[in-house]
Amino acid sequence: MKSKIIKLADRMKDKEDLRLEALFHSAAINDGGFSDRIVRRIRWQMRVRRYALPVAMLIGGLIAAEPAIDLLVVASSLITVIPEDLRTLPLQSLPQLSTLIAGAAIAGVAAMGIRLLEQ
Amino acid sequence: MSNADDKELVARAVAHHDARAFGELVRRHQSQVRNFLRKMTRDFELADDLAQDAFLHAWDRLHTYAGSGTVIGWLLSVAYTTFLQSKRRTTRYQQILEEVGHDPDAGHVTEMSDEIGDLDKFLAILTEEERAVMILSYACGLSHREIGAAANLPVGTVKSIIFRSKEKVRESFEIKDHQIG
Repeated sequence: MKSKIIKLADRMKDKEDLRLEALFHSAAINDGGFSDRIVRRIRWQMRVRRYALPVAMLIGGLIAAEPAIDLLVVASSLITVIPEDLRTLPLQSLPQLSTLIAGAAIAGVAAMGIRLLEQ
Repeated sequence: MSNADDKELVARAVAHHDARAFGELVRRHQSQVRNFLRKMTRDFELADDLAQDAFLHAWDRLHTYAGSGTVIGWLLSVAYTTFLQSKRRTTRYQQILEEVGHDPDAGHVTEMSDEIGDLDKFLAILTEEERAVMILSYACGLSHREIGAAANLPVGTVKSIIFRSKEKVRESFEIKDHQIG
């Protein structure tokens, strides 16, 4: 009840309020393509956000490709200096196929999670 | 689309990332938002740039609209925040220019309109906060509660700001018997 009275008091306008409203009144501004510009910018932003990550990954991959290949070449040359007992490591000590699949699945889920968070 | 009410359009824009639904909201409310910013900045070009920024911010933050107040009240609160942020950046920029001995206003003429000439005298005697509250109240027609939400002020403070602003006008223009205008 009290809040209704307060709301009513808020709406009650005296002469002074009406004069102020008249003073502050301005004609409606014609849209003149304003809203279309906003929509175009929003669509552009959405496209940029959608493609930014894949494009960045592609560019990053291309940039990283050359040093990565160099690194592999250097690493392969290091094999000759690996101790003999490590080179003849038993096959059982390597990760099993099930472990590799689980690892790949976790990596995939993590990537999708990151993508969702970004969206 | 044009038959849907504001809150339906917000829901559609948020749920489906529907830029067209948001575009309809912009079409409906651009005039009020631009008018508010034109009165705050007294610079049409700057006001329209700020209005554009405000609508883009509103799009980014649309999911934060709680639905308790009107959409226009919420849009005006985003516009007011955008205005204050821009003001802070400009003030800092001018400080830097002054520090390096450059006159920030040299060679720059602010475009102002004659349309708000009378209003200008009135707004000039008010502080920025008083100006925002008076514009939101008398130009945008928001309730005290909506102004409080838009300007992040308690309703009691909004009422006292309006009262104080009217007093200032009466004193400054020596108006008797509530004769403003």
